[in-house]
Amino acid sequence: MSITTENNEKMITLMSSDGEEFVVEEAVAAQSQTIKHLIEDGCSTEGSIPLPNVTGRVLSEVIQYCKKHSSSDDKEEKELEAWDAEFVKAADDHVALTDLMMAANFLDIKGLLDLVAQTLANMITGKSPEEVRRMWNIKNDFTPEEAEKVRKENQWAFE
Amino acid sequence: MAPISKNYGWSDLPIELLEKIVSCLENSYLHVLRFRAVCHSWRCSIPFPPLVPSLSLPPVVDDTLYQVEEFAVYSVQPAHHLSLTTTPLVLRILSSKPESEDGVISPRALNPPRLATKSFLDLRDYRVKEIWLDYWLSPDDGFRSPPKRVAISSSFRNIGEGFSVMVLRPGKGLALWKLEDERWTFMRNSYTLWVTEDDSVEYHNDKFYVSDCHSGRVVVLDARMNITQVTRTSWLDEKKGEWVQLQHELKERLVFVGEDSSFSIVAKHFPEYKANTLYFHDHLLNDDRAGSKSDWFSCFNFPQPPNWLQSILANDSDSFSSRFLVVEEDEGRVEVEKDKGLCIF
Repeated sequence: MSITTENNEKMITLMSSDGEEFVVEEAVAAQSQTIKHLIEDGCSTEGSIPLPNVTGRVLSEVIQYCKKHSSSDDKEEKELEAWDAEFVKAADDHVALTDLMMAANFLDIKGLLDLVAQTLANMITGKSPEEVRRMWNIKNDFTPEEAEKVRKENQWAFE
Repeated sequence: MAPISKNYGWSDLPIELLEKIVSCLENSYLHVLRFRAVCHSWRCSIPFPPLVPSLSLPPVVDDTLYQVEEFAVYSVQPAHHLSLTTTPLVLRILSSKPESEDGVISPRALNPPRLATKSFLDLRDYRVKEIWLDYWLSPDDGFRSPPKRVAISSSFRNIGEGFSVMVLRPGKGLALWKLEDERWTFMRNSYTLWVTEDDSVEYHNDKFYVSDCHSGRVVVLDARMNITQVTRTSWLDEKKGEWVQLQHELKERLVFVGEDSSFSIVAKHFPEYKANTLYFHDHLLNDDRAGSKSDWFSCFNFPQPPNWLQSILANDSDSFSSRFLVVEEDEGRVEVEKDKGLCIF
């Protein structure tokens, strides 16, 4: 579905995996390389672009990010950085961030992917492996042999 | 590709995304090691991290080859009550060389300074934060010459254009090695700057800072070794700097003082330490003062420091070395008395 606004901006509709529709300016949606290619390939002409891997909740966050980043120029770098920091803070927890990272990866939005990866890395940094497991609900599934290697690698000796 | 659901398992993240996260971990070596200690799939996805190699430099004057070695200081905090100790440790390790043969890293504890020898620390039980990196120039001659103080313009992890190394040559002057020139340039000791064993050099925001404690000055040099500023400090004027009331701005800082590694850090990032405190390590305190208290080392709350220290601490960076204040006890310039606080002579 191609609509043109009074600013002569081409609009396109994105549809999330749970059927939610988002009408956005093409320039905003094209922040995603994946969507950009879909548009170039003419996949947007018959209505909306389906995004089967992204839920409406996540997609609305992604669009929020793309809107901000398509309307800002380089001069506002500082402000944009602050906005990014608030944005990932609002994503709230590692589960939401993981979803966001998966979406950024699928949609191929480099800036967002970098931002979320850095945020997740910061959340891990410093934590003990057990704390990381608890936080992300990961099972300690090392075999005894592996566990022994891990122990040796993570051991410091005082002489 | 599976639909993204709320309960997407982290251990099932695609390898490319795990790699992406790992590439964002600061100080790759230690944090990647720990990342690989979480679960089987993470361990298999990410290869064993290489240590940053020491940096080999051509001889300064004689035929001795030198290597710049990186040391990292970590704050190591027990993650649960079953750990060996409940207080945070400050550990310094040589972080730029291959590990010792058995794959065990030997740190030196800065706090508390004497952990039982032959004991092991299982890092998996701890939270680990990198506090500080410092660098030394070590001669490749079987340790016949002592290592020299050195400052480098970026960490080993981001060596690039403009990278330079400044070496302090006690009694002689300074030597600067620039990556693009691939040679040493020298500045001899002069009336303006006379460096000795007691002095030190640091790099911060495109400038080198060299202390000249004989004249009580800090000399600032640019990347081409031109002197841009000479700051008169009250270092030696401070004949008997009795430290008085607390200053607000210092409440934000912790200062670690030692012979080979001194630095200050922003206290709010390290809530496990007492803010506004000076921590000593090395031999700055006599053994008999150590007593039986395991945390004897920890320190002295900051009364108002002398101006020269303040000017360095006022710097707005997150961590900036205060090595300028390193002085050795046997020279009688730092004296610590438990009840009186700290006096500088």
